[in-house]
Amino acid sequence: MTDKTYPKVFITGIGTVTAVGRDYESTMDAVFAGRGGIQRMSFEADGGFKALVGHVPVALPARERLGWFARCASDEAIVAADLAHGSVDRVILGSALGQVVDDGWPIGMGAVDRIGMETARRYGRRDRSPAVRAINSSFVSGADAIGHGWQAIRFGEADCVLAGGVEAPITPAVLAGFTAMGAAAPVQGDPAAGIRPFDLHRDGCALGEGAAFLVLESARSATERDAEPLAELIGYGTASDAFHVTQLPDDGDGLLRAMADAMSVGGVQPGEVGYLNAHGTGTPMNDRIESLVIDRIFGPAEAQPWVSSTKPMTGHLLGASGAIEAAIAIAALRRMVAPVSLNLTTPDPECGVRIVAGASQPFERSITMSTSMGFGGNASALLFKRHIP
Amino acid sequence: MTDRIIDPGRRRVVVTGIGAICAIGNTAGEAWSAAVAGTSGVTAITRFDADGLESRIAGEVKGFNAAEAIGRKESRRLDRFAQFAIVAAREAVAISGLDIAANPTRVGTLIGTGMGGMETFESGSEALAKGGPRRVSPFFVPMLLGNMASGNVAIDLGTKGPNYAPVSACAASAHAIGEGALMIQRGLADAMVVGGAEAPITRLSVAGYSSMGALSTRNDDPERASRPFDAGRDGFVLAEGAAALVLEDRERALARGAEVLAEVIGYATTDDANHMVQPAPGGEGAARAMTLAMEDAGVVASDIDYINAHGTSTPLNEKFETQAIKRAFGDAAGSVPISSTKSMTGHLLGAAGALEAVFTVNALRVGILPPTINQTTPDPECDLDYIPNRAREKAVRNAMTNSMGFGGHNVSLILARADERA
Repeated sequence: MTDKTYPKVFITGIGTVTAVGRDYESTMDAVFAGRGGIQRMSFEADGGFKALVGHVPVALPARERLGWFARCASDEAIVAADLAHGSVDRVILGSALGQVVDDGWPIGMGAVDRIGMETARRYGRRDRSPAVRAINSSFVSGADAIGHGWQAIRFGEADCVLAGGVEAPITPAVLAGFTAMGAAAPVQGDPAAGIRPFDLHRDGCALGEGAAFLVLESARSATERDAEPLAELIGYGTASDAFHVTQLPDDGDGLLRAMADAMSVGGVQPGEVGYLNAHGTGTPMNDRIESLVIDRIFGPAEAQPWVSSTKPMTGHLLGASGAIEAAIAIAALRRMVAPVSLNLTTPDPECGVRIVAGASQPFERSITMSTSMGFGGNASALLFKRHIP
Repeated sequence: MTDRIIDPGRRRVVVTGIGAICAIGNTAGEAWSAAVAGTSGVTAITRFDADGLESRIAGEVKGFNAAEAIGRKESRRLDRFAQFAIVAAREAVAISGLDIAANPTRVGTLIGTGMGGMETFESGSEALAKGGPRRVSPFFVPMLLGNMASGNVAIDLGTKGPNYAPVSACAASAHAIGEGALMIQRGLADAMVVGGAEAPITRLSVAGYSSMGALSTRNDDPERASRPFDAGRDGFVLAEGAAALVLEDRERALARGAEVLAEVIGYATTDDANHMVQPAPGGEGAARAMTLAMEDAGVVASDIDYINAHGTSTPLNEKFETQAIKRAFGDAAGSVPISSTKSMTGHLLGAAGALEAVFTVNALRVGILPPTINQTTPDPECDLDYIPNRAREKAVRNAMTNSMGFGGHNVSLILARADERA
């Protein structure tokens, strides 16, 4: 089989819920305006334990948040795609932690599978349920869900895929776990300035919650129903560096191969990428290795894309981060603007890439990229192309 | 799923290694011997104090020393499900003789799980409740994550290709096998380490499944509690363990002189999203998965000489599974031998499909069908040949193994004897 036989894959609907917006449009307005959503949260029941979080401002009990986020984002994506009931033939859902609230059932990853099935029931065909896949590749889950959807369409298994990620990690146990690892940003000071990817003084991430879903459609399906594509998904690459559960190898091997594979399969040259939404957690190691890889992949200065991390706004949505950041990379193409990387005041000489500092930055190239890395050595990259009808 | 386009030129996928650790054996070989002998691995729960729970029995792994198997320091940083995964995957790779380091980026790992790090979740929650946030371990998050069997197996073996954990409940490791085979067929990898791992014998999960009324309460007679297809079945027996298979592109496996244990010739999935928890009445979705898998394999019902059933030992599952087999196999349903090895191992949830695929590979290799034990009172609604109580000698050309998840996934895999399609 040659590449010529693969159908094109379009994104025809997007839905998101994050700390900075209850839907896609409001989330993107905040992201491109550089409005952060990080706040300090205090857990009185746990001795006033504090953490920085990207909390979705909705008064829902902890147990109901995971399902509600998934429902909001998937409903929005379906409505945005203007899909009639019964069009979806595959649902792919990624999450890193699943249900981590110890009051009810199912718990853990079982809840993710359950939510995937519920999602399929809402949008699938009545006569035949869509295929449902729940996956976990740690913080790459959302990106891999989208990548698996792309593969399903390319290999002729599906025409219309609803893919995304969901996470509700703001619980004392999970926050305490990240704090104990030294991965959480310190709680003192101004929360809005707390997460500083690529800055010399960066010192950790803030967990965020929410969900993002994309509707992926074969060109045939989109054309038949006269849908307006938001973008084309042209490349996906995934790799494992098999190095360490939480540490990255010095050469960023897994991410390097994931990005190179995505570009190779997408037929994309370095100078064609206008904006890269980086994983950019704000931890010292992540941003340093990621910068090194980006620099190596794109080569000469004129070929480097604009780079930002949007995690200072949304927080780190763990298994949903790859999906929300794919949604941002698509919005960047539609606006032809790279969103700002907040809180970059002292550039780190070891992060020598073209960071969008200060304010969002217009660009002209027609391709954007989103990258994700996760515990366990996972890395994936997605490439989107501007759709010109 | 939409019906798959069968590509006549697709790469063939073979099994070159198997590994397992479960209630009836700490290696694939031990577990197979015990299965052929009809041994139950179900006992009273020893992992925690089960007093007060409705179900107090389980299929526990016995005599497992993680520190010895994996190393003291490493094992303490792994949840039990990831420990099991490493042990099973190492065995599978050792048997296959695959040199992963020769081409690591072309080898991927998919290890599914239904639940993830449950012991870690409970001990972390307990630490928080008793000692506050400062008592939560730095290893809490990396041990809890559901991809940590898959991730740690990749790290342990050095596989650098695609890696993720299917978490599709009780179909998770069947998905891992099927999707891993697809990756090889499509040229996305040359070899895949696939399987599943589960360590659900904790107070929270036993209580959770109990509250659903899913578990057997035959607490005074654990060895006879798992009795799929028998009229006296009253629920499944929760079990732990892991199983792994090495899948390879057939040409590459033959070129390196590997012993082919079996060939993966068919895979299909359907999902009953309209029927949460309970399988669809009439077994329609499960039947369709079996039919599609036979189409994918290019075989007909009479070519299948053995079915390893999902057979959980719940009243509804076997009633519907029997209907599904009849629907998919038609006239051949009455003559195909079927067994549920869960009668001996208990139900390993996300690891069950892989363990049962390992048993199925052995049935193909040696021509012995493992039994369904504890068959004393036939259920008139389950009237097929379930290989009751004693293993049976029978040459097997092709075998099917079925997995049906609690969320309603149906996965059918068809394996062929190594020389069947030479």
